[in-house]
This record gives sequence, C-alpha cells and structure tokens, in this order.
Amino acid sequence: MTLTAHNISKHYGDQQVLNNVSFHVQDGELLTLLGPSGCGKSTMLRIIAGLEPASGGHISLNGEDLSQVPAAKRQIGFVFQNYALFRHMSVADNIAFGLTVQPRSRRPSRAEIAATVAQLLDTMHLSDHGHRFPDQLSGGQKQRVAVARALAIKPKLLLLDEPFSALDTAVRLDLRQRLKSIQRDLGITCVLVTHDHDEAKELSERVVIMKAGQIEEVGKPHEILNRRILPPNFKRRAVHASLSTHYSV
Amino acid sequence: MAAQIFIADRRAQARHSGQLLRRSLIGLAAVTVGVTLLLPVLVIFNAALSHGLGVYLTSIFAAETWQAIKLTLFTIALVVPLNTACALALAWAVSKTRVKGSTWLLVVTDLPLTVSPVVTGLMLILLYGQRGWLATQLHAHGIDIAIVYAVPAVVLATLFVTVPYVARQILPQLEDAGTEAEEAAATLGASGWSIFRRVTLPSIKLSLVQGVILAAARAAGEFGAVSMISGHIRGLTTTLPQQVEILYNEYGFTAAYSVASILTLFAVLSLGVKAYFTSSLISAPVPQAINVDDQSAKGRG
Repeated sequence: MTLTAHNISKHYGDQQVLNNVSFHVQDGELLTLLGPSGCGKSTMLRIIAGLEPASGGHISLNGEDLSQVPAAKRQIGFVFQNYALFRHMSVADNIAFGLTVQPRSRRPSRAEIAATVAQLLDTMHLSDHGHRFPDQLSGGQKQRVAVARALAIKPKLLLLDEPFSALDTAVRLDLRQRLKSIQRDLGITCVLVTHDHDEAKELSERVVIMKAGQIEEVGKPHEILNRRILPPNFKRRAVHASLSTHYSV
Repeated sequence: MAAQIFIADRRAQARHSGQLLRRSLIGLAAVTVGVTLLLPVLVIFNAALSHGLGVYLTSIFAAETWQAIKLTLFTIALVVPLNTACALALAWAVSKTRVKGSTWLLVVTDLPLTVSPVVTGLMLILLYGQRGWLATQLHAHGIDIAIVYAVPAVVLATLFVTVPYVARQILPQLEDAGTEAEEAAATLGASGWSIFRRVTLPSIKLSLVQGVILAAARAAGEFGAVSMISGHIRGLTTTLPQQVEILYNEYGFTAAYSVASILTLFAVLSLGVKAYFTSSLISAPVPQAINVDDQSAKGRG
C-alpha cells in the first residue's frame, strides 16, 4: 500500500499546526515523522487515520482519495502513545475487538477470530496473558497488546504515535527490534511518529524531519541524522554542568 | 545514643497524640452521623411498629396508600429510564464531541437543583395549567388531555426535578476517560453505536448505576413540586410522600409513620445497592502489574 499526503494543512482557529505538508510512503516502507513536540507530527498521523479532518489538502491510499472516508472505514491501524486499551476487556477481547465489531456479513466466525487472536498473542509473546486485563500488564506488554489489536484488522497501513515513549530503556530497545522484525515479516507499510533520533535511525527506511508544522528535510536516516547532531559545545556544556552539580555536593 | 532515644521518644509521643486526635475526630464524626442521620431513621421504624406488625401491614395495604405506592412506582418506572437516556445523550455531547452550546445545556441541567421544588410546581402549572401556554397550544390543535391535577403532572414534575442526577454522576467519569479509547475503537472499524455500547458505556457503568439509583430515590421522595401540581386527589394523584402528609395531618400517626417507613426503606435499600456496586466494582481483584514478564519475553524474543 502506498500513502500520499498532498499539501496537508491544519489550523485550529488562528493557530497553524500544519502547513502544506506533502510526502509519500512506499509499499512496505517504514517512514518516520521526526521532530520536537508540538511540530505537528501527531496531528499529521491523526489526519491520516481520519481522527481529525485536514483544513486543506488530502490523503490518498493506493491512489484512492480518503477525504470522504470515515476513520472506521479506512482500515488503518493506529497505536496510541498511551495505547488506549479497553480497560474493561481482557487482552484477548481487546485484540479481537476490531473483528467482533464488523457487520455480521463480513465478521469472521468465532473460531476464526479465536484463531487470529491466538496467533497474534503468540507473535507478541503474550500467549499466557490472553485472559488478563490491561491494568494487570506492564508497559511493554500493553504496548504489544496495542500493536496486536491494530494488526488484527489486517490494516492497509499501520500508524504508530510515539509507541515507545512510555517505556523504560531496556524494554524500549527490545520492543523496537521486535516491531521492526514484525513489520518486515508482514511487509506492512508503517508511519512512525517520534522525537527520538536513535529510534528513527534504527527503524525507518526514510525520515521526514518536521519543524513548526512544515517539512524541513526528507531522506535516508543515516544520511540526514548524522549531519543533524547537537552542536558540540552544547553537549559539552551540558556534561560539564551535570558533573559540577554532581561533585559540588 | 541518648539523642537517638530522645528522638525515638518524641516520635512515639507524636504518634500517640496523632492517634488520639484521629480517634477523637472519628468519634465526633460517628456521633454526628449517628444523631443527625441514623437516629431519625431508626425512630421512624420504631414509631411505625409501635402498635405491632398487624397495624403496620394494615396501614400499608389500605386502599389509598396502596394506590400511592403504585403511582410512585409507576412514576419511577417512567421517569428514570427517560432521564437516563437524556442524561447519556447530554453527557456524551458535552464530553466527547465539540457540539457548540453543549456546556450551556449542562448549566441549564443544574437548574432543578437550585430552584425550589415549590417554584418548580408553580412553573409547571403556569405552563401546563388550563390557561397555561402549552395547554392552550395543545387545545388549539385539538388535543385535550388533563395534565395538571392528574397523573401526567406528577410524572412531569418528577421528571423536572430528577434531571441532573444521572448526568451529574456520569459526566466526571466520562470526561476523565477522555476520547482516546473511542478513537481507538473507531480506527478498529467500530460504528458510533458499537463504540458507545462496547467502549463508552462499560467505562461509566459504575457512575451510571449510582446516578440511576440517586434519581430513583429522588423520584420516590419528591414532595414539593408534585404536591403543588398533583391536586392531592386521593387514590388518584397522591404519591407516597403526599400520602404521608395526608395521614399525618389527619392524626393517623402510626399510619403516617408506616408509610414513611416504606420510603425510608426504599432510601436505605437504594443506598445499599449503590454501596454494593461501588465496592464490587472498585475492589474487583486486580493483581498488581507483573513486570517480570518483560524480562522473560526478552529472553524468548
């Protein structure tokens, strides 16, 4: 599936959040929208998913204009920053949700749904947790449930909004690799939103650098990001400051 | 060493005085609740049963009282579902959508809490009474139904008075939950109705039950507005609270206490149901998050 954003703009009242943003995601590619918080990257993701209308421009998926297609009909998986799991449902029911809400004519049989859920639980190493509830899971487990839930509907496109930001470092590194291998195995087209350079470098084929609602640069991560490191004196000063506070005590 | 003992001593003292303070505060609260809330409730039952169970039952099953019980139940059965549906729609509009003016609707919803029930009764008479604006409109269209001084008036007054209860209960929880779960459901292909039924409704179950119980209790106990507008037609438009007043004014003290005890019983019962739901939903066994698994998963992955 290829995704194209054509001149997307978004404003809330006077505040311009996105200004003429255009990019293209190739089939099977993982593209990262990288930028500081408030640069409009999450809004972009929400517009792609249909959770928010664009003020101008349009999104097309495989050449089909999505402007008039509501979120529920887009078949685009979305992993939220805080996962947005359904707290009153078990892990298995969470994952099955996208299948069980389908109209009866298209809904898979109960056995088929159960099989899909079991398979996803297995892929995510959650087989022993199907009966648990989200509040009983760790952050990393929740994230995996959220990914499994989004994958269950066989999405044409998977959107990930800062999916690793709520996790501690060890879990983050592990889940990053796991996500990459799942994405490769399924060959699914992905758009990832993050502010973490390492994440962008490790995961994505291409990076879109955003700042203040506009695209600054698009390219391969190692080409762009090695150039765009923090100014050296800034780093040194920061280290010096932290050392001096540490030893003056 | 001595300093340590001194500090430990002071801590023990502080703990002791803290405990004393805590105990006296709890004691004070218990006495206040006992005298102002529990004692009156107990006195009602005592007075109602003072002439024995036989007299108690006879006064409850007296024809007029029995009619009042039925009317009260009928009113509750009509008003509570209607209110719940409206409250859900309103709370949904206010918290999950950006419909303009919905916050104003919310302010208006609180009106019954601030207006005296007697005034409510008067307003309804002005609106629905024989010369009332709405009644004239209805009459002009050939619709002639008795509203004021009839059962519809009782229902309308109760409806007015109980409007805020459900909405006020569910709104905080709805707003607290945010919109993310609903958005997730939408991206998973759920229709608006499925989102509401399978995601939103379960997330507010607790407060919804509480709101419904409070509304039912209020509907059963409403006196002022209903008293103004019902016309006190015995055996026809008298609800339980009015029946209590009638009996009491006619020196039927034991009967009045008996009928009052039914209302009290209803109130206590609804509180019990509310407490049951609160505790069963809150203390549902939720084991602590098990973080170990992230490690084990890593091993396998």
